[in-house]
Amino acid sequence: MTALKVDRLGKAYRMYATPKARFLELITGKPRHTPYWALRDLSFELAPGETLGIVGRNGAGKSTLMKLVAGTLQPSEGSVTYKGRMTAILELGTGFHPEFTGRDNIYFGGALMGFSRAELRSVEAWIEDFSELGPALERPVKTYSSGMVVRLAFSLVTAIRPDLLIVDEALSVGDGHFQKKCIDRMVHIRSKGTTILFCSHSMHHIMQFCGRAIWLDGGQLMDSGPPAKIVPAYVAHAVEGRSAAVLEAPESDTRPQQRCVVESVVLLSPGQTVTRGERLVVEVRFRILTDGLFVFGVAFDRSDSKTRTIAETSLENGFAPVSLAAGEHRVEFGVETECLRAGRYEVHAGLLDETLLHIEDYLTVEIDLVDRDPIQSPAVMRTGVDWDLQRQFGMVSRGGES
Amino acid sequence: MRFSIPFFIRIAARLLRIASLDHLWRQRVLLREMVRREIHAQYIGAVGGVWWALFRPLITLAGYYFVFSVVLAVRVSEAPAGSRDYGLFLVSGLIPWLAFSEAVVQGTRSLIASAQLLKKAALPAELFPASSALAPAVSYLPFLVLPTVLAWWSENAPFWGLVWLPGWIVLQVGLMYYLSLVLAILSAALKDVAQMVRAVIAMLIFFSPILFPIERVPSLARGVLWLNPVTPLVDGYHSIVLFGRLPDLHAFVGVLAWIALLALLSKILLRRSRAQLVDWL
Repeated sequence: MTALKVDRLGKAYRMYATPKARFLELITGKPRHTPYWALRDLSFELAPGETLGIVGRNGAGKSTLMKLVAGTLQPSEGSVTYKGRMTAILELGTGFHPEFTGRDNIYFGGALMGFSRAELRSVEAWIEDFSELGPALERPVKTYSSGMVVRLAFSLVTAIRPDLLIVDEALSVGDGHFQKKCIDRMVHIRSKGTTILFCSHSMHHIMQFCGRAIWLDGGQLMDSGPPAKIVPAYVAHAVEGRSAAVLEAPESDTRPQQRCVVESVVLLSPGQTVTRGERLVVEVRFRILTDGLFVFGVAFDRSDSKTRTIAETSLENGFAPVSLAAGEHRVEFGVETECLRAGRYEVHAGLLDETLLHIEDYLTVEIDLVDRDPIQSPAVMRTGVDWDLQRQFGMVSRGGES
Repeated sequence: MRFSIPFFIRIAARLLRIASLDHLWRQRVLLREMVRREIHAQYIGAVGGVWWALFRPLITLAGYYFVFSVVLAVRVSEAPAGSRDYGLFLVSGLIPWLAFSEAVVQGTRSLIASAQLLKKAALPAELFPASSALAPAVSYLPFLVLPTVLAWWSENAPFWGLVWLPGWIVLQVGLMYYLSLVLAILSAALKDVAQMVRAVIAMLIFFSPILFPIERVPSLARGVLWLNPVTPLVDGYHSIVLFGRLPDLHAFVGVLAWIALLALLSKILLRRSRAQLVDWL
């Protein structure tokens, strides 16, 4: 069964040299535009209760896709079909009237989504409770902070379970507490069969929450699959693009303000020389300059090749982004070296922002990995393969699976 | 031929589509909510609230009455029938005019003003000019009291003729809707249109028989006045309120021709712009 079907979807914006050209085209019907394809030839299908995460840089076509599915944009080619009721939070908010109070907007915004007054009356108390707006619900929405608008909008779009829910970047403005509440709510309605289209710059949310992900770049589908595959590929690509750009640009102060400084990376045990199989423990001391969410990261490069042997973040190892206050901190991490081939490694340790797209700061130390039993091998890794020889007519045993 | 109920529904659905009203009909619940919002939003936060909606036209009315009746001593007619005093004449033309100008000015801006909403909710474009056309039609309804009282009060006035008023008001709403729709799409493409409309509307009152009877205009210039869609509209109101009879044929033809022309134009513009209207805002 298909809940949402996107078929060869494409959107071309018409670019006009001047507004006058646009006006003349409208009057005469003669084309005076050049098309710009923000999204092209995208197809996918989602089953009820499935969650699709969408990753990509700014301008990759994520928002265009969300708007096309939500119906606020008309596709230039292809089609979007879904069954049942759809609600959407696009670009921080939904159809609210700024002069009306939050409570009035439950009814006004709800009417825009196609809910009847009776339905809205039945969920008004729930929305009041879930949004935690308290007395602010009686104030005009124009006095709300963006976080408050999203709290009201999210409560409204999920109050009556939709069959398809579209959430574009909405959670990024909420505080941690409300973000968690939103995820819990989405998990709940998803378990009841709601299909969710989810777009976020937070790789943490994509990994944690989506069953599938697609990666868009320049309006094209780059890759799709499980988030555990798509997110690292996208992050590697995005960071690469960024460092290339940094290299090209002359030294300037256009860099975003530094949020932290890594002060030292120390090899606590066993030291600079590591025998394969020993646990390498590293201590990182750093100073946070501005409060925020951070993720720890570590990477091993072999000195004799361009291959990156290890690149892991605390997020991938099951840590949520940590909220750190300004001041001195230290973190310790341990790496099992059993699987590494002997050689010299550069160990980079530092901090990333919670989107994993920006490396805040890092320092590098070197280690020499030596092997008790040096067998010359061209491989990068040693994984410890189990060999299990059996007679031909027996069942093939489980072996070498990790 | 059998006239079953589904047959009439099919005909009605087709008529709605031809008149590009089908989207409005489907979203009628929302339309009602938006008209209410439009009326409320204008006066929200003001202590006087909705009373301003009544007060402002009365001030305008009093001002024009003073200038044209007291200072310039405009006579409506030399004819002996004494009921056609200037007050009733002014009320029957000026109130529809105020509703008309408000609807068209707001309607022209309606798409640009609702850009935020249109970007976040999937709504047909017609909804916004329609609510702009309906809001003044509703908020000016209380002023129907004025011609009624005046007609009832002055013994010669044809009181029962007022039964034609609702029908003529419906035609005015149609005219306002299609004109607003055309201008709203044009101004979405080119913002200058909204500015131009303001200027033209400010001038249009002097090219229609609202402040003075059309007989006072030199016959050469009368033709120009009849090009103005407001002229047949106001002429119809005069027929109903002052004489208690159905509007003349030329008033009917004038108003219906304008409605047909604008409806056709809006259909063409909608077809050309529907897919990218939101991108322009």
